[in-house]
This record gives sequence, structure tokens and C-alpha cells, in this order.
Amino acid sequence: MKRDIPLEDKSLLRGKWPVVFSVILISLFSLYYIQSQTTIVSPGSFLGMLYGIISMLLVLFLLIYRVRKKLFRYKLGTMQNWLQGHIYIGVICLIINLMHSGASFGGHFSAFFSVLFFLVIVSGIVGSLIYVNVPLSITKYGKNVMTLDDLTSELQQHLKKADKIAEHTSESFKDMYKKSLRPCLSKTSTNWGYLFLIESELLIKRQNLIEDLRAKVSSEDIYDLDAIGEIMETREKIAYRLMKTNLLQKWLLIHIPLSFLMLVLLIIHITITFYY
Amino acid sequence: MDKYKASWIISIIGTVIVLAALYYYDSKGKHHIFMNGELSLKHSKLVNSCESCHVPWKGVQNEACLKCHKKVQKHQEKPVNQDERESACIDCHFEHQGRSHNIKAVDKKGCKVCHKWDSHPEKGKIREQELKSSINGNTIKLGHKLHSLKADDCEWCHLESTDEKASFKLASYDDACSNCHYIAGHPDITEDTESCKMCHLNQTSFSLKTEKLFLTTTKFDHKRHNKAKCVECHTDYLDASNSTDNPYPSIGTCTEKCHEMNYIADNCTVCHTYHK
Repeated sequence: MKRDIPLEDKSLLRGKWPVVFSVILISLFSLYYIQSQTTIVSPGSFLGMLYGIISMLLVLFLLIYRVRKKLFRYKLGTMQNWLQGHIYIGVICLIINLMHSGASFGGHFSAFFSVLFFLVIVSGIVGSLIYVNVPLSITKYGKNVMTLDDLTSELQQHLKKADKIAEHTSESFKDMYKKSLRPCLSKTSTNWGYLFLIESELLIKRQNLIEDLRAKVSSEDIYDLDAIGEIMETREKIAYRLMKTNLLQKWLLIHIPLSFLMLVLLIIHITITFYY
Repeated sequence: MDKYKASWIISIIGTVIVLAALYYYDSKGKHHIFMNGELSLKHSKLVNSCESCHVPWKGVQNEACLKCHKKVQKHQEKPVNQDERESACIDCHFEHQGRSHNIKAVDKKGCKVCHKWDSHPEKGKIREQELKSSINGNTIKLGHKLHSLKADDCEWCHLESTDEKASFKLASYDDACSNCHYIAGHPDITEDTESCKMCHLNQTSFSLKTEKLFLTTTKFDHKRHNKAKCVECHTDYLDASNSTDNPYPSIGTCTEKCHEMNYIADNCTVCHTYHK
């Protein structure tokens, strides 16, 4: 798979965490299997409670990630390591939770809590997928560092340039521009379809579109089509960065509220457990 | 608006909605939403009366069970290998396992919570000190080896009992021995002590009792096993040189033949009674 940004810089499969994850996972499954042969593992049993306590401690560890992001001035390990830990521990947490509950949803509250826990972990995994697909320097374009607002206005400028070129073309070209090219140039909002799209694939897609249109336009308009094609390529590189950034930010609107709610329900769950 | 701020606002709104919903259900007396699973059919009337069984911050106490289950007695004897705490009903009888769950049934894993053992005691572990002889409480030197009984001939000595639980009478002189060893006036005859010693080993009485490693009361009903021939279970009867060397079958004989197979229950409680 061709990528503009080297994968190894942000790969979640490198470093110590995958090994730690595998060791913990194998140990957990072994312990669970051995114990389940001789005793009943239910949420209220010794082992069930132990799994519950471990799970709760791991949730607290997951919360520290947010604190770590704020403490960027202190030497507390790289953010890359923290992110990997956040994702791997989250998945381990989900597995321990299944062991804690004996893979049973229980009653209404427990079921809701379990589903929410599952959604938090799944949204975390989706977030990590978005993250590894976002270009390394979202705001870096060429040698210039650009803010998100700069990127947005840059997109608008490219659109205006393309509109201006299209103004001086034939009616049939204008019509084609309006139907086939302008929609591609005017996309600025988050498009979830971009989640698994690689930048190079997007550019090839646009190039193919221009090639297809080349056969349809008159020879007088080919120069203008190529000019718009160049604008489109430059624009898509910026748009790609912007859309992935937007996706990541919109993802936060799902992951953080779900995590917060899960934390509140965890407190209620612990209180109910000890109360009853 | 900043995405982080937006995510926190959504978090708080979402949490408030969920908490309001939980409060609504709780205030309407629908406490069952907090249950860890459906109650068994017999307890289903208690669905919104948590306090019937649960004492706040103390969990389920034995007293709560005994309020309704008045006839149920405590553990047979203080279990060996168990800590000092009193056995709790909920150690063996698990609730909130679903409507169809049979709360009376005890999984053998439940027994193992207290009764730590790697394997069931075999034949050699069975003590015979208190097996009362049917002949004046005397121990009889009657060996199966000497008598070489064939399978079909067991009933020659072991007559059927009217007692429902033990479907065989212990062999008595009048019913069994006198068929061959007729001594006029027995058991009052006292002249030939050497002849007496042919059969009478000593003057101590004994009874069948398992070692106190396990539940002490073992029930076995011959009538339930009448499809099997005697020697199918009492395989070692020919090795018995006297009456104290009873050819009790080992648990291996039971499990190999029928129990621990899919169609016959293999719970500890099939043979052992827990309550007094």
C-alpha cells in the first residue's frame, strides 16, 4: 500500500506494547481457564471481583492519558507510548470486563454498562485508525506551518481560482464543471468516507476523473481542464489533511462523552455492588 | 466552538439524561433495572423488593433466606478444610442467573469453594469402624473370597429390605448364614468358642462412615441402581477376606459406568447431603 507518510512513525504495532499486550492476554486467558475448571467465575466470586478491581484500576490508568496530554512539559514518556498504552490497555480492559461478568450481560443496568464499555473501546480503536491515517504534520504544508483556518481559506482560494478559470470556458464545459468538478472542489466538511482512504488513492481518483473528462471536452477547453486539474490536486492534498483533522475532532465528540458517561456508570456500578 | 469544550458539554448533557432516566426508574420502584440478572422463577415475586434479601452494605445474609426457608438446617458438620466463617447460602445457591435457573441445584464447583480436594477419595479411604453387624452387634469374619458368591447369588444372603433408602438388609445369621452353617440354638450357643471364631472376628461394632474430609452424610439407594448387577459395582468382592473388608465400589466405578456422563448428573449433591 502506497503512503505519503511513513507508516512506522505512527504505527501502533511497534514498540513494547504489542509484546506486553500479548503476554498479559495469554496470562489472563490461562488464569481464567485454570480457575474456571475448579470454581465458578461469576462477578461476585473471588476471581470475578479480582477481575472487576483490575478492570477498574485499568480504567483509572486510561484516564491518566488525558492528564498526561496536559503535562507535556514533564518527562513522562513519549506521547506515542502513552497513546499505544491507552489503546492496548483499553482492549485488555474490555477482555477483563468480559471475564469479570462471565461473558454475561446481566440485568438492564449491567447490560447498558457493558454495551457502553464496548462502545468506548470500539470508538477508541476507530480513533486510533483515524489517527494513524492522519498525516503526521496536519498543519504543515510544504515548509510553511499553517493553522486550520489558514488551510480552510486556502481551500476557498483554490475554489475561487477554479471558478474564475471556468467562467471563461464554453457553456458545455461550464455545465460539466458545475456537475462533475465543482462538487469535488467545494467539499470542506467531514466526510466519514475518507476514514480509510489513503491520500495517494484520493489523488489517483481525481486524476482519473480529469482523464475521463478530457475525452469529453473540446480541444479549446482542454487547457482550462488541465489547469483546474492542477488546482484540484493541490487542493485535495490540503483538503485531505483538513478532513482527517475534522474527523479526529468529530470523533472526540463521540469518544469523550461515551468515556465520561462510562466513568459515571462505573461509579454507580461499584456503589450498587457494595450496597447490595 | 472548541471541540474539547463541545465534547464536555455533550458529556455532561448525556450523563444528566442517563442519570435522570435511572432516577426515574428507581423512584418508580423499578429497582430491577439494577439487578445483575433475572431472578429465578421461585424468587420472581421478589423482583422489586431487593431489601427482602439484600441488607444495605452487607449483602445477602443467611437470615434473609431462613425467613422463608425455615426448614433448611445448617451445614451437616463443621466442614474440614474450611475457614472459620459460617457457610453462606449464597456460596452454593446462586441467584440472578436467569428465570430458568434452578437455584436448588448445586454445581460441584460450588462445593469445591470450601472442600479443597484434587480427587474424590477412593475405596481405601472408606472407614468401616461403625458398621453395625446385624448379628448382635458383632463383627463377622465373613469373607466374600471364602464364599465365592456368584453375581446372581448375592440375594442369597443380602435380602431385600423394606427400608426405602437401603434396599438390602445386612446379612443376618437367621436369613443368611443358617442356610449353610446351621447351629442349633445360635446365637445363644457358647460351648465351642473356636467354632465361634470361625466367623466372629471381634466384639467391636462398626459402621460405614466416610472419612471427614468430605461431606459426611452419603446417601445411596440400591433401588435406584437395581438395573445393574451387584458385581458390576462390587467388582472386588472376591478379594474380601472378612466382613470388615467390604467390597465398596470406588467413585471411579460410579463415574466410569454412569456418572459424569451427559445423561446422569454428576453433582456432589447427588450422593452427599449438605443440610442436616
